[in-house]
Amino acid sequence: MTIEHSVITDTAQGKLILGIESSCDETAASVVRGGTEILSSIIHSQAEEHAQFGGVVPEIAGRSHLREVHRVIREALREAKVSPAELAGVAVTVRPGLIGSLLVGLSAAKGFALRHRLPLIPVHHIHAHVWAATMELTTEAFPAIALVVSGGHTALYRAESPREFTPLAQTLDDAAGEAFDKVAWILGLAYPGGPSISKLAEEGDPSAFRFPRYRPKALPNSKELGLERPLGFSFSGLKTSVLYHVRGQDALADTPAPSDIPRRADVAASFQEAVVDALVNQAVEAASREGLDRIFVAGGVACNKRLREKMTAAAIAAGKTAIFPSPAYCSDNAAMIAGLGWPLYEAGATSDLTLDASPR
Amino acid sequence: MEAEPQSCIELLSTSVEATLAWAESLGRLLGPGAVIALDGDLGAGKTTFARGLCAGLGVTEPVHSPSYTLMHSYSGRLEVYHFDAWMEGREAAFLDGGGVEWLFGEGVSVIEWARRVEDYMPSERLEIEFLHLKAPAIDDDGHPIGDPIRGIRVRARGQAYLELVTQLTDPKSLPNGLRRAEEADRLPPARSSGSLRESPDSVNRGSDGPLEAPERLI
Repeated sequence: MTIEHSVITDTAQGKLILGIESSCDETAASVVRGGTEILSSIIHSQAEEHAQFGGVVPEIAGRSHLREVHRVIREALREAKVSPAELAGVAVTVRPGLIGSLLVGLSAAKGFALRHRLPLIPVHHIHAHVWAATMELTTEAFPAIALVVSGGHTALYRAESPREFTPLAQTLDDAAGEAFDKVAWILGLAYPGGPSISKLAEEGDPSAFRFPRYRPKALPNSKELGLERPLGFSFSGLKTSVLYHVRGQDALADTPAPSDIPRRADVAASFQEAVVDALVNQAVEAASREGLDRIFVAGGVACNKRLREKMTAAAIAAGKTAIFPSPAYCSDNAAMIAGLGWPLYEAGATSDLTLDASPR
Repeated sequence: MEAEPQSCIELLSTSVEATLAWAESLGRLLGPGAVIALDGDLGAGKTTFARGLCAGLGVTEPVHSPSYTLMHSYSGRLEVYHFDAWMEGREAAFLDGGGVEWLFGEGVSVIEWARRVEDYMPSERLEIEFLHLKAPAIDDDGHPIGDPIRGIRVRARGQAYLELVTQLTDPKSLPNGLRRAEEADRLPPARSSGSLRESPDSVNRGSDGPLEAPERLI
């Protein structure tokens, strides 16, 4: 026992964590020192395997993870020049995600942990995305507002620490990324919609058309009760507005073929502007109400250039700072998992082999 | 093969609350294995209807669009499986890969964009299609101005659903703001849900006319 204990102490001094991510369609492994120093980050993207279906197919994702996960782990260790004996622990995404995909990464992590006598560190995928935004900070990161915005999530949190997230608002209907996908379809642009709309929008005028920026309604009697307007997102009405815009506001008209839509770039730019404004408005409002100075923006939509520009400017105007991960770490990766793994390990948030995964 | 008995009833909604209340009452009546196929334009109210239906089934968790994750499952009085076939190729691959077991299982299945995966649907099901009759005006904060007028076309496929629809669309039991459509407000023909697979260039996007001729309506 004494020997084993001293081994753990030694490896803890190295602060090296292996991270494994497999929640959706990227199989990834990474070694990170002390939460922020990325020694390797290997990502196998399955994008090509899913492209023919126009989106991620869980069965195909699960099988592909199974094929790639061990190779990706080996490569992450080799590139980092780290041997399993030097690791302090294995961090692994356990939620949320496609359950079949999560289980592949979790099983690989369990096997690795068992063989090398390492503690398992369960990681929440969303918290890890937020951690990605903090990795280049040299100052104290928390508490902060976190806006997580992707194809499947659009939510605001008050993040007290890397692992304490209080939800402040989430979308009533579609995620922001989903609205991008559906409007891209209306405009005849490729899936995923975020990058293709963003590209077309560069040629368009964002103020050409006025699309709605959703804000929740004030509660009845809110003035008398001294209540603030609730925070929230909704992108379904915006999507419908774009649909009826291209139909000339005629509900019974057919949706025109993309090539027949006038000023398509202006529609794309005006739509993107509405999404960005809604996100910026609610995030800055949340930061003001919570009295917090930092706004972390994470998830795939955090790659959006217009969001980065406008959020940064609005935060500065409000005396706050908006912080984004480097574009390379906005989409799914394991560096954010291994990174967040370290503060969790330090806090003793480790698990034994009974660890389970959850889709939500 | 003898065709399943079917009936089609058209309703007119002038209130989102009325549609939600009606969806809830449907939810309360459903039994194990029920299949509800939803169709209609983007933003026509499929997810909202699914939310009402889930409430009627005793689901207390928030119900969101399942487009991104293919299917959400919820626990209420029965298990509820909320599918979305928006990306039909992906949904078909999902159903082929075992998802179809949920569709024929003991829970209640709710499928948005169901026509896109019609081949996978059980022959007995309740089809509900939403039609925007007037382009909804939306204020700058994203809230609808006034109540949008929607057509709701309900088609029962199979005896059990026929009885359910008769009970559900009885004019006496319809909530305020929802009424049977009359000759004067004959709803436009059904829109196809479009097909991404057959037309990657997105030409066939909900514009190819009636799937069912109006004279087949009773």
